[in-house]
Amino acid sequence: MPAIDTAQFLDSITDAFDLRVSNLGLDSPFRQLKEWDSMVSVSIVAAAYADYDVQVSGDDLLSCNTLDDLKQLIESRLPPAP
Amino acid sequence: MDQTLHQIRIAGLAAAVPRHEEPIADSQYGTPEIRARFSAMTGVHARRLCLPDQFCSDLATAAANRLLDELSWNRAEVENLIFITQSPDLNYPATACLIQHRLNLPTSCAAFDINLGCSGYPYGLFIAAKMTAQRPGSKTLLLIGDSAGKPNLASELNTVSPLFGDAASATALEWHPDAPPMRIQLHTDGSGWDNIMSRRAGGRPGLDASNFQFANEDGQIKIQSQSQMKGEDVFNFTASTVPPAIHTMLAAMNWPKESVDAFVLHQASRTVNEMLRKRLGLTPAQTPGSLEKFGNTSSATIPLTLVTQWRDALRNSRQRLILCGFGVGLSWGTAACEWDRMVCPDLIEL
Repeated sequence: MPAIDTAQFLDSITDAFDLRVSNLGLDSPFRQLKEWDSMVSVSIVAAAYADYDVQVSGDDLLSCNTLDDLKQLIESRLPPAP
Repeated sequence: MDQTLHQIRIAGLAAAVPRHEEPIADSQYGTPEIRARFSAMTGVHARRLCLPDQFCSDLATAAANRLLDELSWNRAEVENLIFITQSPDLNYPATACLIQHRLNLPTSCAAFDINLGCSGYPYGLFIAAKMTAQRPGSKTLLLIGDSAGKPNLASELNTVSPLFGDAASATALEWHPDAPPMRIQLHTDGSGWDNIMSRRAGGRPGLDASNFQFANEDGQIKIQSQSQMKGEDVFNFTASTVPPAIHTMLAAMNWPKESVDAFVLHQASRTVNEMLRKRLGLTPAQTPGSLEKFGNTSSATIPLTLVTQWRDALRNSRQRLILCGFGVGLSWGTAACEWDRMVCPDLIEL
């Protein structure tokens, strides 16, 4: 399975949180953070599409507990390299 | 659905908004920090809201009255009045019937409502053009809009996201032997019916406690079922459907992207619109918008954007336009048109 760059991925998620969180790691339970809300949720979906060309649904996000879960979900859907 | 309509001219276009403006920063929604994030993400900095005694039908009627006056149309010749709205005055009768009376249109005029939201304008153009008879003097009025932002309860003010603004518009169509063809492509994917919805009492699914509100304000009993939106899924729907719909239309028309004067798209939020603009390879100048000052104005977005951002060009020249509406349904539609010097009054504030 192709892998995405962890640092870039975490930067992108931090942006989706409008930089209100720091030190996000793959083990972060992102949906449990007090900064999590519906705007962050849609921003993550938009970022996954902009950065990786991958669509992540609302239900997909609910199935992920940590950012590692989300990263693996995105990786499983990466389009084939050109 | 893919059809080309002939000999139908857009004679005029008018739009109306409430005078009452709510700057998001001054609204009661959330906290100052949440409001700042909201405006940065959605691109909405202010919106117009109907006052408690003001309704979408008032905006539509004002737009139609001004347009009829400026066109100097004989009202007795208006054969069709179509009102596309999800904000009717009543469950029934159709609000178009009330508007027919308020506009002094003849009883020979057909009048009815259509329940569509953000995709409504291309649908409306198609239906209105189809209903306009192929003979001199045949005239149709297409009214479209919503009061999706108007709060139904004071208690909503700090909880419901201030994304939607209120607006309505009127488009005048008439038969004309030399009018350029207008091509319209319409789509539906009802599998996403619950991505954006508003329940009603006794409906399916019915109301539950989470979307049932009751209040007694000013001696009036008010009951509200809040609308629901799955923002993530709506984003994905838009990303999957809108760029292909526009590419398909350009190919069908054999129009190079550069030959189009403006791509006027529904504006759901800045996040969605920037994604679409980038995927379509368009510049900000090619994709005029009304989101910042008026919010997401549902089915009125396309005509409101034309009136507020493209008025001089519409009045003075021939404009090649791609119009695309998409949203609740799920439903989407694209129109390819060349509109030549129409009557277009300045934005009406009510």
